[in-house]
Amino acid sequence: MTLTKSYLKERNIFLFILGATLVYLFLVQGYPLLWSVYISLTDQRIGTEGKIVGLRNYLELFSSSSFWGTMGFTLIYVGSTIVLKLIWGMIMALALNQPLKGRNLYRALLFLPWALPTLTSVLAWRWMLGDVGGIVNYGLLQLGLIDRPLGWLADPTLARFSVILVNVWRGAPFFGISILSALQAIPDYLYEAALIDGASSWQAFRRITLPAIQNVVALVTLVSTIWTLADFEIIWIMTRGGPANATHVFSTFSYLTAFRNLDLAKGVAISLFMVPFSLLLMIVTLRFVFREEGGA
Amino acid sequence: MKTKKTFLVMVVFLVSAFVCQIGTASTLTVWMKKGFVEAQNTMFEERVKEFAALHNIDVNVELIAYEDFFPKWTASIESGNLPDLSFFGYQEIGQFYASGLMRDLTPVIEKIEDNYGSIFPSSKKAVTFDDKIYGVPFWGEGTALYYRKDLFEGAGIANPPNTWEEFRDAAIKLTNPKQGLYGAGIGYGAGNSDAEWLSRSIIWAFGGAIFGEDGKSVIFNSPETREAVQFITRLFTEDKVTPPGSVGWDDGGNNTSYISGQSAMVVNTGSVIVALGKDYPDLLEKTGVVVLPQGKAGRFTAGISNNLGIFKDAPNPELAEELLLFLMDPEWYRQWINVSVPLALPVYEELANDPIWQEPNHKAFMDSMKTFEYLGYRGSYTPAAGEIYNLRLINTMFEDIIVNGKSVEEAIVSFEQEVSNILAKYNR
Repeated sequence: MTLTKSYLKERNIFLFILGATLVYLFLVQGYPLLWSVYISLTDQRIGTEGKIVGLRNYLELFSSSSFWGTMGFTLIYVGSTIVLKLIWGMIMALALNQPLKGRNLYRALLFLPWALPTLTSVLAWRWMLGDVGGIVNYGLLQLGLIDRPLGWLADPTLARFSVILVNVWRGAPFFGISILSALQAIPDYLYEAALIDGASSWQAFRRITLPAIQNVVALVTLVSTIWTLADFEIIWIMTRGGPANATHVFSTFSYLTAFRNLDLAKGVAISLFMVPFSLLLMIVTLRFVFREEGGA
Repeated sequence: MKTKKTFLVMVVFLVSAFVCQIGTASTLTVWMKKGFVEAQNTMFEERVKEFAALHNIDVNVELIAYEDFFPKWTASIESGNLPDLSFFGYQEIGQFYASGLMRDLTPVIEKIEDNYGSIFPSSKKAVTFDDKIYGVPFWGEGTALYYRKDLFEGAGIANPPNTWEEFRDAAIKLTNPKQGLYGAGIGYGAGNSDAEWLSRSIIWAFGGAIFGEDGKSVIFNSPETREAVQFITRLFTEDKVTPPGSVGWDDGGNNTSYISGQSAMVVNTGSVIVALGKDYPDLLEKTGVVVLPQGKAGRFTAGISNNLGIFKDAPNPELAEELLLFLMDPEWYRQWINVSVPLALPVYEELANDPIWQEPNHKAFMDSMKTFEYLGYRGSYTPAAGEIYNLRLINTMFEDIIVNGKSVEEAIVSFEQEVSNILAKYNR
């Protein structure tokens, strides 16, 4: 009897928590998503009642070169920054895992770009890349590498390079710190044993280090990909999607459409293109996390 | 029993307080554009507070950077949490009017003019739709050509340019990339509204226009427009008289370029004079200011008109209208304008005769008002014209030509197509 009561009590608590979670998920995640889908199927502009227009917003987007340009650069931006952040973060982590003098100071410095407010650091980059008083052009001119200042944010290729550079600079510390923490969990005796067995540095890295950090690397990569996909600040502050729409990503293009053009429905439709990518990445991340928990 | 009584008294008290609260306008919310001159911002805040004190109400004045207005407006419209009074560029008044969001302020304008004097008709025209006025013009912004007198003298150029061709000739003579000096401080960029105004001024001066006189037909693809677009393009691609980073400029780009000595000529509002007077008196001495050059069709300046308006569903519209009358009192208004001279132009015709506008560095800005045309030229201003401006389509067209190598003809056709699409949307 007591057991049954206790079981029922526990089951009620469980059902209550489950119900509350589902309500929360619906209100915070489900409802806004459904609302967004609905709005994207209307012609709603800011301050007006929209009427259903079916897939018109999507069809108009498909026929717009700006949209395809945005799609292309979003993929380039996310793909290149993730690869570069991973490589640079890995190098930083491996270097700072070595017994260096003043290692803690270096570690703190490593973390700095990630800890600085985005607005401040990106504005500083914008100034550094500027053609008036910009230190990058000044340095290149002094070294004789260029004969006149480059338009880092004025030329489409250079502007794309610049926003990718700043994203990597800002995001690599997250990879570095995460990988570093995984590296520190590897017992030294594994490397000592490998050394005794005559393994080279590369072999030790491939057979010991990589397997030990691969889960952290995968998780960090997935999380960072989701964040980068939704990145807005860096591009908005540096280029606002220019020049000639060369650096627009979904978030900036959507913002411009919804807030500048007051075309709420189309702005929402643009942002919804991020959803399948993000959803896929979230599913992969969750499967990965639960596989890990299952394994443990 | 005693507890119950106490509880009831408290409930009655709270309900009464709530009823009183909603019965009066306890807080007036005012959104104002954060200006370049701090003293002007402060004066505005103090004036609104003075009004609040007279009416025994609270007031919440928010000074907001122009770029931040759009998310604020849109969020407030969608949530229904509207300000009582807000700043609007005339182009936004048009867009919001088209959505049926603005309050008719014709009676307020009539009262202001009856009590205080006439407002420039062109300023009112920019916010008039279907014979009703939806904004109170609060200040204008003149645009002029800044030039370095010392550099002109050094290059043997006797006078500032009177025509756009003379502007080009002077820019070529003044440009010296090895010294980091460029004749024409003109730029484009996704966040650059100056370029939108300037490009229109040049295109109009060459005889081109986006709209026909009916404001609905698109006449952009004309020999005159082509000539103007080619003229601007040539400055960047052939003459190379513009700074290398100028295609990525925001609105501060030409200010910085001129102040740093990178550009010998820039086109701007009075903000550069204000900055020079405050921090760079030596450069101010070397600076001349004249009205924009003319083209074969005349001298044109794309007019900038800043307004105060009230959303139709604002919580306290009557009180906001009273505040408008209070702010437009010329005794205070004249001081508010003069504290930022030559940046803010008065909207009262009478104040244009103030001796302060005859000073050499101020006159060109007031004179530019005589050459004002608004978005929508050759027709009247329309919400579609406002949207084309807000989307920075002219900027994008020039960026396409200058950085993507699109031909002038192709870019003009694409631009015209986009304009037609927007017009079709408004006519749907």
